[in-house]
Amino acid sequence: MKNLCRQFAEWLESEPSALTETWRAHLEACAVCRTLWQQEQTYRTLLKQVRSEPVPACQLRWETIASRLETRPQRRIFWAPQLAWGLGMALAVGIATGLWFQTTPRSQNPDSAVRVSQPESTSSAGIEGHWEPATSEVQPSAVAEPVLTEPNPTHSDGESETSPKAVQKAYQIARAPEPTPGRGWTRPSPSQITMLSPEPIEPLDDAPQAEYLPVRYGALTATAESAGGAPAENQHAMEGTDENAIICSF
Amino acid sequence: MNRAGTFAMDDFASRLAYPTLSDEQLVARAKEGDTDALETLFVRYRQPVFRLVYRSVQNADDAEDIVQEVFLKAFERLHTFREQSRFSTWLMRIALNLCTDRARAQKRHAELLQREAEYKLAWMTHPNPPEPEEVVQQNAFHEAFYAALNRLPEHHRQLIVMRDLEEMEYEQMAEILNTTVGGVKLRVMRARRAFKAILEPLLREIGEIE
Repeated sequence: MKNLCRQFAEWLESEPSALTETWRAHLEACAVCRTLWQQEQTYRTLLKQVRSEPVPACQLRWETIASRLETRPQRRIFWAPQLAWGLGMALAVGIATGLWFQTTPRSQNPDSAVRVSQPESTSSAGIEGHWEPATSEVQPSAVAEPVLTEPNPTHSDGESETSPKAVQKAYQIARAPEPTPGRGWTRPSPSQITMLSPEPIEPLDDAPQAEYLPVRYGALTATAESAGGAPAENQHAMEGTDENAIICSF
Repeated sequence: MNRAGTFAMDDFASRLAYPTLSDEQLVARAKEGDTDALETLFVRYRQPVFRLVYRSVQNADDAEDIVQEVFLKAFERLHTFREQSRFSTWLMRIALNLCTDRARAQKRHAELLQREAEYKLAWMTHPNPPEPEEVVQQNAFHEAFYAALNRLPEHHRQLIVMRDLEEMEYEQMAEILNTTVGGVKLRVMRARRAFKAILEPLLREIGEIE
């Protein structure tokens, strides 16, 4: 019986049009299947009723569609190739530019003649843009010295001493005999110290507002003590050894 | 008749013949930019698509919006239509997808309230109002049916609409849903079970079944 009921349920799901004699006999004997059949009939009646309800006519007009088609396809169809072309061209130009920079020799760069000759420790100074061309006013003898090959050196605190005069003086001081604070050395008087106050230096063309501070460390030379020379000479005489002078000057 | 007049007559005769052309012929012409072919396709399938959408969303204004979107999408993407299925099937698939999108976006509760208001308005403006008892029974049936339909998941609802309300063939449904006939039958059977499980208590409430 249960097997028959299961078969009847499966038969119902196969959308039968009418009861067969076999199933009619089964329904008379089985209340469960009879209820199932009644529910199926109710469902079909309901479906028939809903189906019979009139569906309103679609009021949509072709003109509406056509007018919207006129605007929308242009946006969708035509912008894509244009964008693709634009992106492609931009990419090609970018690649070409990159290749050109890679393949072009660095010597063609105007700054490279100076920068190539710089030691690595001072190469960062070139970033400031104060490098002078290789044909600067540095004297040939000074150029021969390794330190003076830098056309415009800079202190670690960023203050540059680029005056040719200053370079020349520094070179002279560097070559002077080493000062030895010994027997005749005494503490400088206040008047001598005031002479060490900052002295304005002629501004350079490219840095008109620059002000250069003297170097204060080191020891007074005997020459400076005895002669009490010019402030500039004293200033440089304050520097210690040749090596110190070079380091302090640059 | 001069030459220009001959061309005009030819064009007119050609346009007259458009409704007799098959979907494939119209689609081929539409792909070449023939606007008249597009219009013929639109006129041919406007109402069938609207019926399907209306059954699903149960609101004429919403259905028209969706139908408009269906044709716009179809005509814009006509170049992607590979004619591996019928044009009507392709249209119905687009329509069902848009119905699904809309169903996801809209609140079901708002729909019920709106429909209730429409029924009341329709009854008040009916030219020959039926007997009140009949109206009550029909409304109760109607409400129970659509309440159950709206509670169904969207994929089940589409199957009930296509098979039981629109009486589509299983073969066409299989094309639209991109599956086999057997698969569609199985899915319809499951959808009906789910639908009846929701509908029976509602019908019991109104005394239609014991």
